[in-house]
Amino acid sequence: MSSVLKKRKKKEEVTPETFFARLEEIKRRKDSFFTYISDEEQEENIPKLQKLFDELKPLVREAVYKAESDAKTKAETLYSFGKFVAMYDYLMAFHKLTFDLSLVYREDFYKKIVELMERAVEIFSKIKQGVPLEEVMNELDFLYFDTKQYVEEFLKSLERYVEDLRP
Amino acid sequence: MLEEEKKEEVSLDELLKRFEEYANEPGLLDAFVLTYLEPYMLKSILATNADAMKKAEAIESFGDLMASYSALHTIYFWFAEFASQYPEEGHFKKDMEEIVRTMQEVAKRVIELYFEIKKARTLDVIIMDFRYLASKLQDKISLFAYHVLDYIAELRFSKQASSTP
Repeated sequence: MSSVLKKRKKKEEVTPETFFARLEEIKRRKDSFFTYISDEEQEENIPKLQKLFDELKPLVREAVYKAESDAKTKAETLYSFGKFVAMYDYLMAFHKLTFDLSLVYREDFYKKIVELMERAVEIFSKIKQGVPLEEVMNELDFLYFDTKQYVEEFLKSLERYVEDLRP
Repeated sequence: MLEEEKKEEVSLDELLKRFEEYANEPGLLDAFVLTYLEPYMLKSILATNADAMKKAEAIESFGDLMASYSALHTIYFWFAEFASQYPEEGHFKKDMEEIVRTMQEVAKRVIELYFEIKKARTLDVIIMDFRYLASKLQDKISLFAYHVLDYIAELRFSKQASSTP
């Protein structure tokens, strides 16, 4: 590999700090009279969050591969990560449903998406810092269960909403 | 349970027996077939001759599949709850039947895949199968969103119509 290419590669390395900065950028409120996060703001930010998440996934994988641990622990960590990724994607999809249905709690839902993303970036940061993968795995499991629980709560509230609408 | 975890592997007979027993109960199918198989599956992937990256990829895609299975199971309960509250309506009956069918198909295929891994089938193919199965589950979850959306639109329309003098 030529030195120029090496340099470029090194320059392109994305750190957790970059992700935190981008997340802060997404979280930064526009000058607005309203205290709530408007639909427009949410609609503008959701694709950015999705993009951030898509970029984060391969980096977490790579960081786990490179971590100092045995193959079994690495694989189990990725198993927990795989579960979280799938559930987070469902959470994103259900946020769209709250929009399509104009449900009142769509803003809370949005905030939860941001919060979980923040925790995912924190976990990425911990892997890069060399935190033992056993600990990372635990955190990923908590993250997965929290995400799953939120999905379940959403479905419960949808149930109540349907009940209210019924004659 | 601890006793079961000590076992090195699980037989096809045992898995099929479990499958037959719980096939019509999505919750039990999830807990007593797929979740039960989970540690054995992980162990079998780790025991293959593939390189570490490939094993990790297979395990991650299996995790994705398991989470999708769990999400679909949650959605099944949503429909079941609805059906128990309004038994006179046939709404979502077809969805429930389809979910059960999909969950059965996926569970059966995952059992087969476990034995294919043990027969040294290449992990590249297994990964593709895991992804295909996960996409099948995702399709059903998307359908849930569409059908609920339609149903709520219907309810809103009739509520509006009944309140108009």
